[in-house]
Order: sequence, then C-alpha cells, then structure tokens
Amino acid sequence: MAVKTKYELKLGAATREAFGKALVELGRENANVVALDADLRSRQ
Amino acid sequence: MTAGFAKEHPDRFFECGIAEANMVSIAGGLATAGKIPFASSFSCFLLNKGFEQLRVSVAYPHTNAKFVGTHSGISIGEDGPSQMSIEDLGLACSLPGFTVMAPADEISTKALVKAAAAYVGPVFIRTGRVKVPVIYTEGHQFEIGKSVELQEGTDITLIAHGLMVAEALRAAETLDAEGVSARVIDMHTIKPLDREAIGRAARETKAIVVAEEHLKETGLGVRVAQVVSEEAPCVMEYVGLETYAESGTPDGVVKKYGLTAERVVEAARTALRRKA
Repeated sequence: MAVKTKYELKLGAATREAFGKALVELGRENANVVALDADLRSRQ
Repeated sequence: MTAGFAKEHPDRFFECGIAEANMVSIAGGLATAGKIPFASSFSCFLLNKGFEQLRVSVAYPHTNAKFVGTHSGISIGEDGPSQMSIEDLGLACSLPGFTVMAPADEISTKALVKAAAAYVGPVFIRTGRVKVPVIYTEGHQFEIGKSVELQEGTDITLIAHGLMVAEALRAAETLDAEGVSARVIDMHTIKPLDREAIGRAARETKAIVVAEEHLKETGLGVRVAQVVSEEAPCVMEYVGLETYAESGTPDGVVKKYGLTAERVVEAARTALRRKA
C-alpha cells in the first residue's frame, strides 16, 4: 500500500534569489553586514 | 542577487567587477576589520579563481567572511561547462575550518544564510540558478551541521543536497510503491557533516544512496562514506557527476547526466540487492 508523500514539491524561487532576499533582511538587521559582488554592472 | 542590498545600503556594497580573487581578499580584509562580509559570484569563478585568496586570506586566518556561490552545478544550463561548477563543494570542503552548505529550497537557503551571518568563521554557501521545488514550510528551524530527516524509513537511506533533495523525495515515493521504506535526509551542511544522523542511518537501514549535483569523486558522497566507514560500514551507492557536462536546457542536461529520481531509484535497487 503506497503512502502518498506529504511533499507537494511545488516550484518555488531559485536558491540564489532566496540568498538575495536574506541579504536584504540581514542588511536591515545588522549594520556590520556588507556585501560584495563580482558582476559586470557599472558602479552606481 | 545583491541588487536589493546595493539599493538599500549603497554605502555598504562593493561592486568588485569580474575580479573574483580580489573580491575574496577584500572580503577577508573587511572581516578582519570587524565587518560581516557576504561576497557572491558564480560558484565556478568564486572557487576556482579565488581559491588562493580563500586559502590565505580566509581559511588560514579563519576570518569571519561568508561566500555565496551562485549558478552552481550543471543546472545553469545554456551557459555551458565553462560556467558549470561541479567541483566547488570539493574545493570549499578542502579548506580547513570552512563551513560548507548546499541548501535545497528557498526557505532553507534564507534560514541558512541568516545562520551563516550569526556564526563566527568562514562559510561557503552553494546556490543555484533554476527555480526549485519548495520542501519546507515557513518557520522551520535550521541549524548549521544538523541535517533534516524529511521522511522516515527503515530499508534504505537516501541522502542528498541541493536540487537532488526533491529528486530523493520523489524516488522515495516510487520505492514506497515497491514496498521499500526509504529514509530521506537533506544534508544541507556538507561540512561539518552530521555524523550522528549518518551513523544512525548506516546502523538502522544498512544501505545508503548519496545523490548530488556535483562531481562524485569530491562531493558529499565520499565524505559520507568516510563517516560510514568510521561509524558503521554498510552498502553505499552514489548518484552524481563523473564528467563535465555540456550546454543545454537545465532540464535537458540534468536528465542526460542522470540527476533524476529515476536514477536514485535505480541506485537504491542496486544497493538493496547488494545488501541482501
């Protein structure tokens, strides 16, 4: 008798996007948090 | 990934350009000065180009710097093998004192990034480009180094990280229909490993399959095998990569290189035959 899994496994966000969201929250919570990127965008 | 932070805190954001090694050095320096730096880039470039600096400016002095690799594994897809990090976890784990994580979904990623900020010491977190299934519910408590048993089981244990966690859950469902009770463990922390959970799985189920979007030779599998050999030797099978992949759609390359629930089921059947 197969037991149906309790995991629906609906598609969510990419884990890199979740990192970005967590980083924004960390920025608000802790003034010591700084971020660095190695991207192609020009400086603001 | 850092755009939101850069917009809110422009004075606390550093765009280093495609000079990953230099970015790692800057992060090491900022940590030494008391900041909690989060430096991110493609896993492939962050680890390969920044390795010397990760070793000398971060691991050796054990600085409190955090590194987040994005676009990890082969599921980056079309960008091709030059951007596909399949050795990143092996490289990160080879650095003494580093904590290394590879979360499976958005909820665990967010929680473990927060946990990394609270933890004092060097951390590498692996993240991916593609959307992945949600496994956890909001509010689930995560602890660095403590794996999560997603499903109970007595015949075999499936251990996975990253996008293979969902595949392991699907595999467990198939195995269940065949009368096989499979335990599923999300090993979100690759280093330090959850020795207690691995030892218990080895003793209680006596067969383990490790599934990962990483090179088999230097990934979670061999690390779990070391613990199993020390705690309670048992039958083990591995699902992972053996070669560089190629450019293709994320779904296409993942299927072609066997990172699927079907392959996990096959490995489990082999392990059960060997165990018998």
